[in-house]
Amino acid sequence: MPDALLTGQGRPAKPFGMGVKPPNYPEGQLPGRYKFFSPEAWKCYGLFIFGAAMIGVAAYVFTMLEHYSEYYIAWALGVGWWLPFFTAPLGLMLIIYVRNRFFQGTQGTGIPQTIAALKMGYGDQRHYLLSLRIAIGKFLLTAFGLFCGASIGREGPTVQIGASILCHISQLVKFPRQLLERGLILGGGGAGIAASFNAPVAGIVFAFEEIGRSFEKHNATTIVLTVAIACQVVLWGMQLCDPRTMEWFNDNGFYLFYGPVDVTLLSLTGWIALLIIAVILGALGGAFAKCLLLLMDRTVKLWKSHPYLMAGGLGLVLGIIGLSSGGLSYGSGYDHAKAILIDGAELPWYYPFVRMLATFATLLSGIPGGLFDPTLSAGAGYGQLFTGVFPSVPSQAIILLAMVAFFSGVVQSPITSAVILVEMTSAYEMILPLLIAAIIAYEFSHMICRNSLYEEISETFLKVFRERHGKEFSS
Amino acid sequence: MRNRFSDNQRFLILCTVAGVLCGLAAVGFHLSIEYTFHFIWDFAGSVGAASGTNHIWFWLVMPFMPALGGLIVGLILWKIAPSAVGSGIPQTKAAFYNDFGRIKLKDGIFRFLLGTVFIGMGNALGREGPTVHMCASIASKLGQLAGLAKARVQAMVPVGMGAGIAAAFNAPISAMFFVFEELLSDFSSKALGGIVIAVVVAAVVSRTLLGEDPVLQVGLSEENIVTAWWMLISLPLGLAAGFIGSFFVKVLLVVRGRMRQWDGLATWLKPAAGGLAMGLVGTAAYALTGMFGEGQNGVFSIGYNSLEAAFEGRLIIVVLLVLFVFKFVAVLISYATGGSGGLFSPTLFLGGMLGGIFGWSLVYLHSHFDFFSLPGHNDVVGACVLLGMGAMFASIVRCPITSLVIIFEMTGNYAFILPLIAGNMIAYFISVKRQPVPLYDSLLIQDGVTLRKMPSYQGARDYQNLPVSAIMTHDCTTVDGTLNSEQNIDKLAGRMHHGYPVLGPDGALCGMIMHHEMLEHIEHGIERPIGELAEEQKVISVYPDTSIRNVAAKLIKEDVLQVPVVSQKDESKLLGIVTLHDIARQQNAVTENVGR
Repeated sequence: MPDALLTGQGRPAKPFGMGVKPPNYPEGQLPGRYKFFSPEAWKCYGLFIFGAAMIGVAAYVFTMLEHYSEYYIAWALGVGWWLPFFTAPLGLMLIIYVRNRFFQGTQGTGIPQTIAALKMGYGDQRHYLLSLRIAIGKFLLTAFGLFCGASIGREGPTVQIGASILCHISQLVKFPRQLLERGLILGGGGAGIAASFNAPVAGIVFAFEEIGRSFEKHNATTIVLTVAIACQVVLWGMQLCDPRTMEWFNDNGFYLFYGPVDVTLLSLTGWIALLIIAVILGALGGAFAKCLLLLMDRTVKLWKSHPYLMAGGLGLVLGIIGLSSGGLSYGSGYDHAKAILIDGAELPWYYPFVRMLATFATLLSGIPGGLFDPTLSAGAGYGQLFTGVFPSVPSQAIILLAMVAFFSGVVQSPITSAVILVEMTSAYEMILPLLIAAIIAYEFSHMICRNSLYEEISETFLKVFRERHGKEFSS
Repeated sequence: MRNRFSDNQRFLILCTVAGVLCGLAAVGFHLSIEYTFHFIWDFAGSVGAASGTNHIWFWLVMPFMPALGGLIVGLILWKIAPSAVGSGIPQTKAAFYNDFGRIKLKDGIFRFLLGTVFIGMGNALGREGPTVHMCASIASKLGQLAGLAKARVQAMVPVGMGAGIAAAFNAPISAMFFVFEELLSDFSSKALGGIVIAVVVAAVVSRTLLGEDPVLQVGLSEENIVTAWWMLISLPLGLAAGFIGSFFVKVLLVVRGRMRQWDGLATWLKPAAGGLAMGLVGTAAYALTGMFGEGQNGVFSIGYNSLEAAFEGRLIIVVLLVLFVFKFVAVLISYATGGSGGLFSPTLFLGGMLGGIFGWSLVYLHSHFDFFSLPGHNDVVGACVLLGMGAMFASIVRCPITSLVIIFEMTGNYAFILPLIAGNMIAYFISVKRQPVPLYDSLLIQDGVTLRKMPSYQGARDYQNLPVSAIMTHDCTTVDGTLNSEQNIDKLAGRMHHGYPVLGPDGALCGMIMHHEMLEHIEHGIERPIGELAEEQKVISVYPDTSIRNVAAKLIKEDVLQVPVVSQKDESKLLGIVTLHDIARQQNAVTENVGR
């Protein structure tokens, strides 16, 4: 186990920072970093703030790139149906090549990798998952994936980038032990989610509920601070240039990810709709996760023997899905979700299904990229289908419920799901219905897929990692 | 039922039932306090109106209302329900950690009655702490009635606690965080499912009965809020709230300690005396604020109406100042004299007033000197009230995440979340620096209760700097110095320890004796009373505020396994005992907290 790795025979235990001597200070005297006004302490604070700000910068640049990629795809579709159709398989193959050649450890959404790094315990082996090299690779490859038309979200990569940045900083100065072991990774991960969606509370909840799987009071303040700094940096970026309107130097001090939604769920029909939506979409989300896990297990061997063939094949699938849906399935799906939820646009009935298929193919290909945005977008698409079934209930309420139910079904973090939607839309009156729908969906998803998607992937990941590198660390 | 459902399912069903019952109880408590206070206030008003134009009777009657409430509560607390004193959160924590979560239903019922009488009659305490205790007792009783296993009964306490907060504040998410931050301090995934269910059910009950609106009606506009600007504003506010909050806690603890030792008044009369003083303070505040416009009765009872008025910018700076100072004094009096009520709403009230004062000063500075430009809307005061509430909550109650979410949920205002984080964190850090043990744990220590867990250890400074009173055992087993070893060993049957403090005939500490020493005495037939034997040795003792680090050093230097903790004023007065085991448990708890 991790402890054995750390203090294994023949290898000196290093409890305090890599290559740094264990602190040796006179009895009864506090080390300098615990004093408020010591230079060591301020170096710590300064680097920490810098790191948190960098997470915000990364999240902001991602937001910009995502919007540019959407413009690009619209332009490419205008040029001809063949352009995205061919860039998808070629781009995927290129990503896989670059990843295998330069950026080992960047595969997948990034959240399971962060969880796996946390489970490894403190030590050198974390560098395989969290380092500056990983952060850069993750950033470049995810951005490139977006331009190729893959259906990916940017929150997962941001989580891993955030954790990597803070993990790297922790080697430069001495931090208290609980921060080194868990706090900084949790903080970076939480800030990644929060900065991607401008949802600070959801970021905090996610750090505890999904990444850490435990509530730790002594890390709480670090997580809150990281999240706040990253979010504020994103807001400054938005003031500099809002990617949604391309307005430079505007004075929007605050923004909501989707936009304000003011709706309540009062009628009995509404609550019946909640129940039905939560059950159906929760189960659907669970089935999605289960299929993904099963297929991932089955295709591991193929990936080892024919990586480029697989990437090209899945890229072709993406291209075909895009072609048959008229380009609906390309990109993260943010615009479609926003169009359905805020503008009340009518998308074709097959939109959620093609979105799900495209996300499925993307995740299976193992290129860097997350699944929050596409999942929420598919949920909004399902919600649009349900509005026809319950015409008496406000359509925005139905769409919100569908989004939360499908999302909670796939990710299996009910509290995060409810909080993140409230923070994206400021629909505070909906918090209870959303929470209830998320819990019901979680329960039904749990019946189909016993372990959460991220947890399962991280376990597999750790197993493979230990097989491959275990010797290196235990010898 | 036992056959049809698995243990886990039964637990979840019970959690749902507990959520409904706790929601109903919390809503009932809220309404009964509100109606009682309205009745009292209207009664005093009508008496005043009957007495002529100068309302002389109103001024004579109103100060005595809290005193009457205090008298009733004091009598009941004295003889019938002594455990319903104070906030209720420390009691809940103590029951959870030391008593396997068993709380009597009687405590809950008396919480309801005493809270209604005490707070309803106008004493300046809050309803949230009593709600927590009440709901925890309901949930615990439910678990005991259903014949749950011991660990499950214990798990019912956080369920009840969460449901109580969720219903009292109409705030499901912050209720979950509060349970984790205050009670559990780490996640137990088993409890989470039950807590979430109970919290949601209780919030649904509360919303169905009281309506969808958040607790506080805040008309702040969310348009065009520049969060960076507000973050800058919230920094000095957080600084002020941090210092004032930790000062409040310090004064509260000192006054409460003095009040407990003072025997000039009988215990049952203290709340009545406190009520009288509080009534005078409250009436004076009403009179003073009346001079500057509409009189504010916010110092009495819970006082959310004054808070809402402050939000809307209806109160001018002098009124806010008066309310702040008088409420501060009134809460100190009401809590220290041993009334029955919590500290949540007073905290929010004080924070709101502080924020309001700050907001008005900004507006004045702006209009007189024009140093800086205010944001383009007129909600400066309201926003400052909101930020002040959060910062004060973070510095007094010291639950950083709860303090963010609860303000968001109580006011339904989301746009200020980032400035709120900035202010709250500053206030929290200052409070941690100035006051190593948080409020509720300090109250428990003052009452002589040791939690069977690590006391809250916060910040980067290590636990060894905590005072030893945080970990010592208060109710230690002692031996009688007037008897000899054999008689003492007989008396000790079943409570064997390694060593015992020896008490003289007048209860004074005269030394320590080891168990094996007593056995040797018996073996060698020494028949002298052990008091005499113990006095031949030097007594090593420590004071309650010695740091754990120094106690450990002393234990090692003197080569003993335990030392008695004695009072600083009278070294022969035994307060408790601290053993190497206590310190080792502490250390273990810290390392366990760090690992996964």
